[in-house]
Amino acid sequence: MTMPAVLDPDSLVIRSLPECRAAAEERFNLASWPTRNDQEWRFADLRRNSVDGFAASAVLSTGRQGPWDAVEILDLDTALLRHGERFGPAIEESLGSLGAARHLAWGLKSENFRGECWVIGEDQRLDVPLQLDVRAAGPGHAAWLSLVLVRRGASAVIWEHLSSAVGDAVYLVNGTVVVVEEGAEVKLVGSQELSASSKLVNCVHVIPGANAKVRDVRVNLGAEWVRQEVSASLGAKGADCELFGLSLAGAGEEIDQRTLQAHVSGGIHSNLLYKNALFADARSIFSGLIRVDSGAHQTDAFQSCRNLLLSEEAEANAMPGLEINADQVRCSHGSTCGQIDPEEVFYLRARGIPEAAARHLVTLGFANEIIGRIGNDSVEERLSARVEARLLALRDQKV
Amino acid sequence: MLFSFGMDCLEIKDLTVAIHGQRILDGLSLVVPKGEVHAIMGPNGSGKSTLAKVLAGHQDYEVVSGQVLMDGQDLLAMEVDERSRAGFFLAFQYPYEIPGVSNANFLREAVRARLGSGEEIDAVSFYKRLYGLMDELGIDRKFTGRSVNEGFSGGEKKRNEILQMAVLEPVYAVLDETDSGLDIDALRVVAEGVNRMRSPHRGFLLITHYQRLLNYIEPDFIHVLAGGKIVRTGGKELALELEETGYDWIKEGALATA
Repeated sequence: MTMPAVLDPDSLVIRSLPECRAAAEERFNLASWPTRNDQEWRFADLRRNSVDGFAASAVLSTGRQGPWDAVEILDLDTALLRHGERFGPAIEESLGSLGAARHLAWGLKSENFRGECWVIGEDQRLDVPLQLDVRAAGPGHAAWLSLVLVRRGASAVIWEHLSSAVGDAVYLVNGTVVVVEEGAEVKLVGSQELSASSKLVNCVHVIPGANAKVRDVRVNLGAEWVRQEVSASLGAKGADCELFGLSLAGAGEEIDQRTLQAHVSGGIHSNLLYKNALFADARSIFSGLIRVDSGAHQTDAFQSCRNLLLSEEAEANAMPGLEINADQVRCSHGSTCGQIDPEEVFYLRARGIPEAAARHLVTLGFANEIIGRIGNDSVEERLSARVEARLLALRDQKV
Repeated sequence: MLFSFGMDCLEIKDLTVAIHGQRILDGLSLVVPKGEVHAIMGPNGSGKSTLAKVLAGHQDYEVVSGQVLMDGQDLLAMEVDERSRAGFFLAFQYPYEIPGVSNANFLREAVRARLGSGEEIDAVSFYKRLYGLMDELGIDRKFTGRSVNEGFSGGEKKRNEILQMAVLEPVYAVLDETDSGLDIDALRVVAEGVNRMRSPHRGFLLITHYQRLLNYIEPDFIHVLAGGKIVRTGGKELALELEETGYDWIKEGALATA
């Protein structure tokens, strides 16, 4: 895959929606669809990512809950005019940089591209989650872009949830850029319950400022195919970044996740934990890289991918990676892949819990470890109920 | 010892058990009537924990021959979870950790498994009872929200086993080395928890290596297990004798008579 050559940072500043579309058009033309030889698409079933046959006909509708009145909501054109230097490079360069550049550009150049920008004001503290539901009615494709700016000292919990109706074949391109200023804190949850015939390309890029905290939690409860790219640009002193993921997949489904923890300067902590529970012939691909640039001393970075295989046919591919160009760093990575521990099931059964319920409980526990990391009771409670419903549906799924 | 007590006892008859082809229990017979506390003592490797796991139904052990009747029901013919619902309880020597499953959920699920179809747990009274039992056992109430045994100290895990026993109110309870790894205060709390549950309607089998536990939970009978079978049975004074003499003479004796 050829990446567009970047000449001048200023050329990445986007000042309007038309400029954003033009940049996407250009990027689309420079990038190419993945081929078998692309490292960024290793292990992926390349038949799945094709955009052929998806017209710009999906209809997006949004619904909101939470203290949105307290948030400055900007249309994309206004947002880029005001904050183009913050978001432009991320949109043009970072989103899709882990392999899905052309898919992302295809979405952003589309006439069916929508989005919003949210600004959380300085020192504003919002404990009640800002919830945005994006519902796609198909068939066809659509794109949604969220730009989030969390001002100095502010804190917020943001929950974006994507869904499509059963039977609707939707190809959704979804991008999120989160810029967190000094001392601010954001918990971002991106969940999806797309229909079993839907596809999703989801690219997230987070940029925490000095002493800022970002926690991103990806939760996949649906879709036939998901390509998820999550990257963190870690260059500000004292920044802290946590990336969590939970994917529950069943028959005929593939979850393809690529992540990058880019430690540009030193003394920054980042942690990643992605978990997949795979039923039937579901596949997962995880490729994660911790990159420590030269000079980024005292980096403290972790990465782990854990797969729970709930059938003989399920398949997990994990490629954890480290690229360290600095000294005195503390980095570790790893991946595990296993079945339900029979001793755990025995213990639960020894308390009278029937085998199927015991296995369900252990699987639910595996999943809830991620939900419990969100750090907001309201979101955790609601997502946990959906996770449980999804697990029961997958368990009882007839292949 | 092969007389039958019939309905009101846990009766182990001539039980022979192997793991990976190796015999661990070799014709063990024992009767624990309701209302009594029996203790099994014995050296390491005598088969104490094997007995506990076989009674609970662990998949790794093969019952070669023999029978276990719980109030006349064939215990070994039951599924693991069925045994528990029928009134059997094992306090594990090494309780497992179940990440992501809270203690409260776990206990609620175990209680729910005992309800008839259409019945639901009354959450208010469930928690009231749970908190009462936790207070008695000196378990911090915030443990309800924590994952089962995850990050618990050895003592906390053992208290948690006793809590589960108290919630589930079994008819027969086997406590496998519940005293191991406990300091004296924790041992006292655990023992009090067991003593509170002593009743004419419940039988206990304590498995222990040391006499110490029996200072706090006074047994009606003590059995010595060696070489996979009971080699001696006596009253509580037997524990003191074992404490003084150790197990060596019993091992030698068992070998001599084998």
